[in-house]
Formats: sequence, C-alpha cells, structure tokens
Amino acid sequence: MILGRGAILGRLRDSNPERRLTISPILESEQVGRCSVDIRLGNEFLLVNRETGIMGIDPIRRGEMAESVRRYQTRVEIAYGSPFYLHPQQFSLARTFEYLALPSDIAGYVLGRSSWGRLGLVIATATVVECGFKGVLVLELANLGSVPIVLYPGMRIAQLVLHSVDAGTNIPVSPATP
Amino acid sequence: MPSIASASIVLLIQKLRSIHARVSASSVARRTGATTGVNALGDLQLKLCDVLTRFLAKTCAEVREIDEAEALLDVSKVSRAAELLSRLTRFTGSEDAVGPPQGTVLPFTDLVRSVAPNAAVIVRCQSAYEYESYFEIRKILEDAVPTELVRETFLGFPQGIYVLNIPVVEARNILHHCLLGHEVGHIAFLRNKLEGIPTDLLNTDPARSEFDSAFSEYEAEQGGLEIDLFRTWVSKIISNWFKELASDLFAANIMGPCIFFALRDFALPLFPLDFTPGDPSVALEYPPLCRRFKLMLETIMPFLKREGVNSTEPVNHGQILDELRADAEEWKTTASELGVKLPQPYRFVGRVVDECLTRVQDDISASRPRYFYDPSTFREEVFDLYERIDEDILPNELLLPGEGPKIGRPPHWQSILNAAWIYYLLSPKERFGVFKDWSKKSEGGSALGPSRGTTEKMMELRYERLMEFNDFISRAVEVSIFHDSFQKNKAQWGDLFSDPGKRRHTG
Repeated sequence: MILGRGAILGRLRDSNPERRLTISPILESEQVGRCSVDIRLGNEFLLVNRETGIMGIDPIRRGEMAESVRRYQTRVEIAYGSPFYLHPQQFSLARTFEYLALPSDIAGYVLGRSSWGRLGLVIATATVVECGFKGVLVLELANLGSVPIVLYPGMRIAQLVLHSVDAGTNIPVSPATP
Repeated sequence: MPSIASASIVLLIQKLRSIHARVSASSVARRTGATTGVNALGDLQLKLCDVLTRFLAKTCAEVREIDEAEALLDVSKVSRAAELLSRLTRFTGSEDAVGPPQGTVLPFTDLVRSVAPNAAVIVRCQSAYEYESYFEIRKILEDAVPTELVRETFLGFPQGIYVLNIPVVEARNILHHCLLGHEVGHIAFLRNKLEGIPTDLLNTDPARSEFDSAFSEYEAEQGGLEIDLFRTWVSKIISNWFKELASDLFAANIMGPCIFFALRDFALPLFPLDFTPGDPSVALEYPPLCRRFKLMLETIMPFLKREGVNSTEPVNHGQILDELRADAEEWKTTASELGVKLPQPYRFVGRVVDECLTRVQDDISASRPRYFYDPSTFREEVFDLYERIDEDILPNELLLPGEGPKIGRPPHWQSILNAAWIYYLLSPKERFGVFKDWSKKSEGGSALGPSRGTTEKMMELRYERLMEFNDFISRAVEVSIFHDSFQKNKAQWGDLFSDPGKRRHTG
C-alpha cells in the first residue's frame, strides 16, 4: 500500500527508531505531498566528460571498466545558490540533498517530475529504494533538450513514492553513504 | 628615446596584464565551490588591474609634460600595489583547486563574519593551521593611485580579508578542523584590541617589582643578560603567550569541548606537554601545551555539567557526561601539576599572562559575544545528534516534538562537531569499533594512540573509517547550514528552490 501524507508524517515523527522513517531535512512541509515526498538536488555532481578517448565500456572486463568510468567522470561540487549547467545531450550523476533511512517495512520508488521532463530533463534512477536503505540517493540526469538547463542545488527535482512492505527484513542493503 | 619612467611603466603594465590573465584564466575553475571571499577577491583583483593599468597609461601619456621624478614616484607606488596584487594571486590562482569540504568552509566563514562583520573570508588548504589577515589592500592602493579611482572599485568590497589555512594532509579531517576555532580566536583577539593589556599591566608598580625579583632570580640561576635585553625578551614571550592563550579562551567559548579534544588529538603527538628546558625557542612563540589544556578545560567545564540532561536508558546521556567530565578532570589535574614547574623567566611570564587572561575572562563574562556557543545549547542538542550517529543517521537535524508544520530544525553546527567528537572518543558501536580498539584504556592505550597489538592493517582500516566518519559529519554540517539559511532566507530566495511547474505534487 502506498503511504499517504498522514502516514508519511507519522513515520517521520515516530519515536520508535525501528519504525522511524528519515528523510532529512524536509525544508518545507509542502514537500510531503498527498502520496509522495519531493526530494531536492544535492550539490555534488559526477559529470561525464565529452572527450574520453575510450573506445567503449565492456562490462565483462570489470577491472578495465572501473578504470574507464573513473577516467571519463569529473567530480564537481557547486556552492549552494550557484548554478549548475546541464548542456544538451550531457549526462551527469547527482546526489540528492536529503539523507534517507528507511525502516525495514517501508520501500520506495524515485520518479522524475513531469515538470522537469517537459523541459527535456530526464531523471532516470535505479528507481527502487529498498527497505532498510540508509544514505543519499544518486540520480542520473540527462538533458535531452536542445538548450542548456540551469539547475541549482536545493531545487525540488524528483519525488519519492513510499509503500509498506509485508514481512520486511532487517538484512542491511547498503552501508550509509556519506 | 624613452625615459626611465616610460620604460618602467611599460614593464609594470606588462606585469599587471599577466596578473589579470592569471586571475582571469583561473576564474572559471575558481568559481565552482570556491568560498565567497575568493570570488570577491578575484573580482577585485581584475578591477584593480584595470584601474592601475589605466592610471599608468595616463601617466605614460603625460610623462613628457610632468616631471620625470614625479612620474617615477607614481611608478614606485603602483609597483608596490602590483606586488601586493601578485601576492594575492595565490588565493585566486588555480593552485587553490584542492579545497576543504563545504562542511568546514560554510560554518567558519559565517563564524569569522560574526566576529568581524564586513570581512571577506577565505578557507583553504596550505601547510599548517594558521590565519592570515590582509587589511592593507585599500591603503596601499589608495597611496598608489588617486583615491577617487580606487573608491568606486572598492564599493561593496569588504574592509579586509581573513584567511584560514588548513594543512593539505588534513583537508578531509573535519574533526581536526575544530582547531580553526583557535584561528578565529586570533581574529577576535585582534578585533577586541586586546594586545595592549600586557603592556598596561607591566607598567603597574606591583608588576615592576615582581619583574625586578624575576630578573634577580634569573641572574642567580643563569645570568648573562642585560636587564634591558631581559625586559625585551620577557615582553615578547608575554605578548606571544597571551595572544595564544587568549585565542584559546575565545576558541573554547566558540567551539565547546570539541576544541580540547581536537587539540589533544592533533598536538600531543607533535609537541611536548610541558616546557622543555633544552629547547626554550619553542616557548618563545607558544606556551607549553599543558597551559593551553588547563585553560581550555577550565573553560569547557560548564558544558559538562549534568543538569537538565536525560539520564535514562537505553542511551544514558548523564553517564556519558560523567565519563567526559572525569576524563577532563584527570587531564586538568595533570596539566595543572605540570604547569607549575616552570623556570624563570617563564614563571614570571606565566603569572603576568594569567592576570591578563583574568581581565579578558571578566570582560567576556560581563558581555558574552553572540558568536559564543552556549553550554545549555550543547546539553540540549548534542545527545540527540549523538543518538542519530549511533543509528547511522546523518546528524544534521533535530526532530521537533508535536504535530506542527515543521518536522525538524537544524542544530548549531558546533553541536554536530561536539557530538561527532564524543561519538569518536567513546566509539560505542561496531561500525567504528576500530576506534575503540585504539582507545582501550585497559591495554594502556588512549584515543590518542595505538594500544598494544595494533597492526599496520588496523591502522590503515582506522584511517579509512576515520575519513568515512569525517565525510559523514562534514555532510551533516553542510546540510544543516543550508537548512538554516533556507529557513532564514526563504522569502528572499523565492522559487529558486522550487521547480518549474506551477502545480505541486502532480508528478
């Protein structure tokens, strides 16, 4: 069952740490919608270089692939209030502003917002956020339009839909991402 | 045939153009994630290069009409200004690319601005923890070119520039960045014009007679110095020790207990705890570490009081405070015992400096500056953040009770750093268990060094975990400061942090 606003707020304020949902910080209560939570863009990006000198990425050759990925990405940190330009056909990884900690009985999906999609910005992500996840989400941003899109860290960029999980598990899924 | 003045002007213009080109070329790289101080300084440098170049070009055109000596005087003044601009390029050049994390830059920039309003702040990685200040920029430039040319350029530019330096090897170690509190203490010391206190005190009759007896004792013990040289030497040490200790006093009030934890962790492996008779040169600049510890511990004790703290299970905050206070008391006793064994003239120096510090403490107690960290805030916030760290949750927010519109609020950034230090020292959980291995008192170790049986692999693992922990804390500070700014500036920022759609929650 998808969690509605009341259930989300209740879980965010739950005094029991085992049941508490953490989406931190929620800057405005309007971020929590009828059945989703808006999440914001963080200030750290991994840009994919235009000229890489790499013939291709071969997932079978894992060692080489990791090295290739390192070579074609550049880490960029943008100060809050400063713009980040995503040029046409450019691809970038970006962290969310919010830190998430999901209890063992809640999972989620991250979806792009149609308001951005209409401008050509696609926010594809590994959409499932498993129960028990702790850390920040990594979004995959791509500008499919023909003009640069200016993004600011802190903007509402995607939405998180949460739902309950029957017979959840406490198996840790991922270490907390700094 | 060109005159000497004309030739000098041409060379100087070339130098200014090269500075302009260098600052300009690095501006794109500089803007990304740079501190506001660096960007403001870069813009100012570019404008000043233009102003000075125009001024020189005008002088060059008029050189045949004006006196050669007068033209050379102009050249000499501009060359001083160009030299200063050249020195400042080290803050705006591309070599400044490796910067400290925003979790350090943001709070310390705000802090310096609270201590010194209208100042620009640069936080950068260099060779040591230290501060620099540049106040002479406007004066040198006003001397170099007619005031009206400079006035417009400086509109909106801060009065001075403060630079906080962090060692490059410590770039990610936000736990140690608490030591910048001491550097900010230096700025507070300057702003409060405290440097004259020792001279005033030394001119009183009791101090004069005490000085005479100190000199007699020194002569009897060691001798070899004229009284005037002795006076100069002693005055220098008093001035230096007072400056350092007063900065520590400010730092402990600004940062809370974490300043002591950070100094102990950073300095103890590097410097002797007590005065070293064989190496008095160290004592010329800095007081012995035990004196610094004693002062800091006395200042942080009000933070470690148990009153108003929840002492129920599962996490007994009162017990944590008791443990910290017992540790602090032990260190204070050790530091006090060591501090009294000073030879002359350091005994005299110590007494004078103590009296100077009492005056500063009295002033601070009478009107506590706004930028000080309150002990009650420490007790109110630190343990909730400690529990978040314990649950592997980013310690960036404090949940608000009740059903109000706000879910949480940002804590003071000092509370995050203090919670992180306390967690690091106590290391109650497996995730950071590697710290605990390091600090087993029963095996003769402490948080400051390896216990017996520590292997190289454990040390590597410990470093890795420590950096991971630092990144975690740095991010918490950064997010909490943005949260705070958002709440304060929401109306001003408008829809910047919203999305392009008018309707909300429509997907």
